[in-house]
Amino acid sequence: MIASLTELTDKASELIADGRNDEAIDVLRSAGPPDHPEQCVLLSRAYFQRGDERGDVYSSQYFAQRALEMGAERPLLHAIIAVGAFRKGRYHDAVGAFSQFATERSGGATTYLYALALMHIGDRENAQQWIRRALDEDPDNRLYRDARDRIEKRATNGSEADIPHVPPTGNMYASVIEQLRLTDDDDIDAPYTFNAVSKLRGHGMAAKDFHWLDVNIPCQQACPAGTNIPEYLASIYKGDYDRAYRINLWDNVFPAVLGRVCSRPCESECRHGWEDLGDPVAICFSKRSAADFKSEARVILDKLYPDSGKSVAVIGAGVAGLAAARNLALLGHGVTVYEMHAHPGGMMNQGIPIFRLPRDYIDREIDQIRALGVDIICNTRIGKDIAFASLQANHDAVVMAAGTLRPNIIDLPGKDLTGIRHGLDFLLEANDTDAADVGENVIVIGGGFTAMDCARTALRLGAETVRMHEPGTPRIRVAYRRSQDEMLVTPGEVEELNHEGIPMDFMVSPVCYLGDDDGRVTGMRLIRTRLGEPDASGRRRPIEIPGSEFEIPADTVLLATGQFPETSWIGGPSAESLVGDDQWLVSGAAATTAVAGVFAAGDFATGALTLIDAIAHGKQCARDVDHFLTGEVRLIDVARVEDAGGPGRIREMDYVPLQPMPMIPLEERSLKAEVESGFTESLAVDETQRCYLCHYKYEIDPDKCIYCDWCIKAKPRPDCIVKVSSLNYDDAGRITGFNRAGESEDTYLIYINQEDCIRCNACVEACPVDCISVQKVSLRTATPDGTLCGYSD
Amino acid sequence: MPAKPELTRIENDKRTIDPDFDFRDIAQRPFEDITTNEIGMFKWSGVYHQLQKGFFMIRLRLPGGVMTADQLRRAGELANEFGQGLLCITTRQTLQFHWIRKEDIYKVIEAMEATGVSSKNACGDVSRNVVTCEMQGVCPHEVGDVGDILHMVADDPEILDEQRNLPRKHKISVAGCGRACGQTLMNCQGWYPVLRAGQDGVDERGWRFHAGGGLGARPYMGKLIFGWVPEDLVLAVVQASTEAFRRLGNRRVRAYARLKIVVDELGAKGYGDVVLGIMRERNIAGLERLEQSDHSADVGESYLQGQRIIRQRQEGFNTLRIMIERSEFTGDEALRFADWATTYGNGTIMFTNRQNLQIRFVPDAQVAAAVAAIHADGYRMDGHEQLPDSVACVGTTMCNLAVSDTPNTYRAIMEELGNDAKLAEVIGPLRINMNGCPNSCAQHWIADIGLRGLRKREDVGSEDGFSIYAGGSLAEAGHIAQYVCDVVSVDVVPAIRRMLDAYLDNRRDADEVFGAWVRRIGGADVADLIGAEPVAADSEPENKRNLNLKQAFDEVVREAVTA
Repeated sequence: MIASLTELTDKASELIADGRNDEAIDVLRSAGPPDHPEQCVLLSRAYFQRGDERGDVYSSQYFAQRALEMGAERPLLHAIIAVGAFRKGRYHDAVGAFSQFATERSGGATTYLYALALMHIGDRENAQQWIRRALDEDPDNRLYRDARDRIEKRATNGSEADIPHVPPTGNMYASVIEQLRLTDDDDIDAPYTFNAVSKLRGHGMAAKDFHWLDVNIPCQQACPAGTNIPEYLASIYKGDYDRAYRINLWDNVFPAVLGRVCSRPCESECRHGWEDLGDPVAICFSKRSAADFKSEARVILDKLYPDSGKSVAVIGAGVAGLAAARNLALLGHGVTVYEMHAHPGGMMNQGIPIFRLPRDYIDREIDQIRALGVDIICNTRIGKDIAFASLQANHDAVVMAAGTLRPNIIDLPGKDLTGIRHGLDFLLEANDTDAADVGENVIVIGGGFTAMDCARTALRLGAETVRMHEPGTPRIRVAYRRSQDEMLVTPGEVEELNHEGIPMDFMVSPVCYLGDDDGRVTGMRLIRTRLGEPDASGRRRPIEIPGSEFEIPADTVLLATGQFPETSWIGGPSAESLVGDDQWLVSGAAATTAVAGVFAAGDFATGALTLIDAIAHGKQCARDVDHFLTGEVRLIDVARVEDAGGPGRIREMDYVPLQPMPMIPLEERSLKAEVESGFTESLAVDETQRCYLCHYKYEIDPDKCIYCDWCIKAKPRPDCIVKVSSLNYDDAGRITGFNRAGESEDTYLIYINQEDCIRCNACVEACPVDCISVQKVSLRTATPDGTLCGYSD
Repeated sequence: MPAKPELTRIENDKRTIDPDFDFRDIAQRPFEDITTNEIGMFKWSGVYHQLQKGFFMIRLRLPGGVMTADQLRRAGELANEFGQGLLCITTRQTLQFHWIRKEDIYKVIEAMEATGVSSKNACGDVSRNVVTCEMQGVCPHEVGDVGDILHMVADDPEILDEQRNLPRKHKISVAGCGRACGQTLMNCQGWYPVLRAGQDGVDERGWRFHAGGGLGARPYMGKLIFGWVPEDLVLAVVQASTEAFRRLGNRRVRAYARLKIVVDELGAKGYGDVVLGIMRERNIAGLERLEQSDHSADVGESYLQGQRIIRQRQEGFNTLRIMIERSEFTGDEALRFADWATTYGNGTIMFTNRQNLQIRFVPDAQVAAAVAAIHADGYRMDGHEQLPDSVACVGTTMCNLAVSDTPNTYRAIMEELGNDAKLAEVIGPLRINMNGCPNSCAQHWIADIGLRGLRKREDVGSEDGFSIYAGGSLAEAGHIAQYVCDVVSVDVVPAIRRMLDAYLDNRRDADEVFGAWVRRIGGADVADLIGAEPVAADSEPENKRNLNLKQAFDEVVREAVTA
């Protein structure tokens, strides 16, 4: 036993020397109940080296004392007891322990601490003596010199009156936040810089408030239109479809449309889709259910201001123009929209097949805009039917929202052959006429939304009901020069292409068109590519592989290779100021232009982007126009902070799987039959309950927190609640990070790291002192008097 | 469909892990192979993993707090052999071992079982050790002898063996009379006997049944459910109430799982109806003799008011009350106490709610000798229910949940206030209870002065401290202590001094005890009276100082190693 013990203590000594204290404790414990002095000596040392976490100081002292009781007389044991006593402010005990081992030959740290302990018990004579010994060893040590000064001062004054100490009183130590919550004031500043947002309640407008929204609600931050996604998902879950629709209507103008065809930038950012957390919430499909199940056939928003008497012309009834028009009408301005096509809707009509977006929904949501007094005049080309200058003269402001109608025709040999078409023209014809001659073999060039739509539309043009691989149906291929990862399509779209039996050739690039003697296209020559470094868009650039050319036959080639703004119609004296040599607006993507009173919205300013981008741009344009017309800022963004009892979720909701969108079977698919049939109400509940409701803010009231760590024990993620010694801020006061506390004593806050919090409520349930508040923080639009716009809380 | 709540981890463990472990097998298994779920279920055998990894606490089950001298002697030997010679008296009147290795758990449990003391159901979601008043069995005020009822409840097979999957812990008190020493109002079930004239004119003993008391982080005082329970129905009510808890307790959120939440939500009448309903289900006869009450609980003041020696109701015998410093004693001391119990008393020892002990049945003729022996060995018998009689949990020394070092503060209070006999005399009754965390193992909610651990934020880091509460009491309908202020640990003693000064300056008269004074003026006014003067002018933030000195601390130990 003794030999075994010696072996184990030797091993433990090595581990302690390496700082592997827990392993050393395990080894020492394995030797039997700690009833041998050497075991206790080493246990004492190991616990000492662990630091000051709860139990460590006590355990180090405890085993040191046990070792002494067992007859192990060593300076180390007294030193550990002395330091432990000193740490706890038990200076008499510390002096007693120091006196057991400190000598004139002891090191500077020992004599220094001994002197301090003596000072604390009022033995200034001995304190002076011991601090002199420390200084003899290290005269330049700042700590020693400071200690000497303190001891001298005490010798003079009798006490250290210069150390301020705040007394305990009920009022002083009462929670500031609690006091404030007792007031009826609905706008209360947060008391500390480390509060997550600037307000305890009310409307925050500080940089840190918007930073919180950006960081904490990733879906909303990713949505160009800033849609209050978690709030409408919560409404859907509760069955309040009307409110969910109204939130969407306010934020993105076309909920039923976007619920079908939005590019869903929100979903790729959804917190639920982060590593180890499962799949993102099906936000878009859920949004559609709000439109599908709302009780009101037509939803008309209340106007925010009375009639201004101002008139605005909007050129183009696409989503950007209509979004701008809708918001200008809400702001009290008269709006007339001019549209060159027979129907308003722009890309919604022209670019998106009916089987993805039935036209009724477009019409209904445009009708809701008309109901606000917006006049939409179709079949009217500006620059031809009405001069641009005339619009300027007859309206107080003009918004150019003419989209991107200039196709990007790839400049390859054979580009003039018959059968080569731009994809948007093809889609417009198919959508308008339900027919287009595509022949047997179709090649679609491109890897974006339009390419997918062209391919699926072309497939459907082969027969009333498409059945794959049947004779007579077109053979369609989509060719894309990058990989599937680089495609700009919505999740599931490629899968649906595969499901309908349309092959894709990735990593191929067109070389030239092939034609027959009649000038008709017969095929294409392509070359295989590999991916190089990322280009300006962040996507990896395709590089052709020499010698890898190949040919495939085609009766029709559809080019889904992008389009640009058509600006040639802008005439009059302003044209030169507005349009550059490259035919783009000189004002770039801004809503304001070089000409006062002329604005640009959507793709016309930004180049071809998505519907939701265009809507966001149209909304911003409306604000700029309003400012121009009124000279005032009449809409502001605020972070609304309000108390909330809790999100009403349970943790099990996190484990509900992603609900797939129901689709009609292949045999029922046609040009007009909507493929996605939408969530049932039951499925909508299933899906929306998965949302973490990231707009709920969990925050620890630092005046109530007692640092018990119980929330940390209950937390589901490594970094959602952390002990921090300090927080990092930028110049604008935004919290940009935290510094973990090393030990108990430098723990300044128990901090809910908002970025990692998954709103599971576990911390609230674990907190024994109810110091964790749950509040809702929402990005809202308000008028300057604080009235919230669009929908109720 | 909205997701349905699933079983929590611990609820799942309770269904899937047999709580009756073979600790011989556990001794053989590598520590790493024992799951945290299993370790959690050790509690059902009275075994807790203590703060220090690999070391365990074992709590015994001692219904009514009484142990024989032989049992205590054996406990002392086992503590010396396996538990660093340490034993601790709990507020639920039992004993704990600490520092037990997993390899030695079975040795301690089996050895104590051989003496007739079990650790089964000492912890876990079960009915815990049944407590009573510290004078039960010898008290002149006891209504008859309630020992039989106490043991009938404690050893009932349904309670002990079948109800082992309750939503949370369940605590029962069976007191000897309706005074506060019986802890009636802070238990899930609180029972005390009453007499009333029977039909034949002879006094009949029945029971008052209270439910829904409980401290923890959110304290509740028990409500009077039945004003009269015939003695033959007591066990049936205990069983039905336990079953009601099993059915209705919140198994989803442990912070809200205790019976106190159920009773608070249902009210006394509603809860009584539930219990009666269960009794009807069980075809219990004679329910018409049960009387529901619409009155508040009304418990009398404690009989214990600082007595050192109490004359028992058994003529010629005395109970000697020995104060144990901070509830801990060594194995060798256990042997000494056992010897006293056999030499001077009847061989029994009573462990008290204030973590002290009694030697009982000391004949009049032996009292002087016994007292002399007790004093000769350095134990004090004075100061009960006064300043020196403070109760403290283990705090951050050994508890996973604690925030503050209660033993350290206990020592500071004892050194600076506890030995001031004059002060104790002037102040009179004053029970200080201190708890290192929001749970209330040391029962700070019902003390005259209660301390609850916290850390206080400083300019840099944070420091050990306490929230101070005052005015708690288990008399009348119960009084939960009121918040006064928060202080860092170094300010606890100065703050208490100032409270006591304020009490002496502002009490109505000498008959108004400290607790009554606080209840009259309220915690907020007490805080105001403490005022804004510096209370510890010589202090500095310990945490800041320690952070600055951390290198020096390490260096001192390095220097000692190389010396």
